[in-house]
Amino acid sequence: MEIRHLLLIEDEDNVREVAQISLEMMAEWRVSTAASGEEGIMRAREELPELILLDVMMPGLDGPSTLQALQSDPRTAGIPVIFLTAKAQVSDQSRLLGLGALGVITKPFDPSTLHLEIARVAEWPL
Amino acid sequence: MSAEKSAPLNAAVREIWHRARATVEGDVEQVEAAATGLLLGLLDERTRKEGERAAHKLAGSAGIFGFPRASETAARIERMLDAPIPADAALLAELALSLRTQLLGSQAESGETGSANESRAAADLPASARALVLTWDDALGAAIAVAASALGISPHVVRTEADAVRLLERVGCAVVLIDAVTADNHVREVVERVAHVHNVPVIIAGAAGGLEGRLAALRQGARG
Repeated sequence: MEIRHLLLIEDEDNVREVAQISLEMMAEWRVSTAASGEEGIMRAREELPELILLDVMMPGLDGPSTLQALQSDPRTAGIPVIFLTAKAQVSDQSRLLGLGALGVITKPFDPSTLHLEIARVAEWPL
Repeated sequence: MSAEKSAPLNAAVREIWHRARATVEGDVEQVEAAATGLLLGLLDERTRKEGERAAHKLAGSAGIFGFPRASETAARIERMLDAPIPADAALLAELALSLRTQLLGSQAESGETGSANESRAAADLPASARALVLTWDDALGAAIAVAASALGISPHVVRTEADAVRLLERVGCAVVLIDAVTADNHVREVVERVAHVHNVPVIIAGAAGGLEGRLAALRQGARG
């Protein structure tokens, strides 16, 4: 599997840690992390990851606002974003996709298969 | 998933769960505060929102640590608390109680996929950690159950004397709380059959708090 570089923006420490460890261990991808939308935008500009995993509900700058900020910056506008959300309703997913996200992955996810879900949404060969 | 990758991943997830347990317990307590507030008619906007936020966190995270049913329970609670005035206080209290048992039951472990953790969380507790509540008032039963859980006591709410006796025979309890209204005019008989047979202390809960009522309950065999 090709080594990829992802940025994970998630405010909950335990979820962020599990996602990072699972992607590093299972897929051997490089995973940068940020605990808020503001920090995530900064990291995205600095590191230019191939893909961003973005939590929807966060205090401060939430997921949709973070995506808007990323899209408005020419340096980060082209980075695909996948939302992570506990809201599994179809209407929520449609709304999030309408904002320009590449896809939506619902929480809770299975740590042993999260990398497969990401690869499927991003259409990355395995 | 290959075995050489799954074992270290499971171990890492388990370790993260143990570190996160205090945070999870805090989230469960916020859900319980909202449920108790609603039961008592004292739910303010801040408590409701904190409960909703905590339920949202648990809905998204519990399943990651091997508690898929707890995630579903938390999602139901989140939806209920999304309303400015949540309906069905008794149901909310029951869900809050289930959430605690599913996530923080004495045998709950983490780091495994599926629902293996939840079946272990329901495993038997020692009698010293159990309380039996006999009442047909569902809201009262749920309120007592939430409060008991918050104190680390596993509550068992039953509606009939027969169910109470069966439970005592099957698993035992440290204390029995009898709703005087449920026992109707037969408090003495109920106390004798339900509790004294098994030598369990009894507390009788009554709406009237006067000295006369208290003395009557003590005469009927209650210890408090």
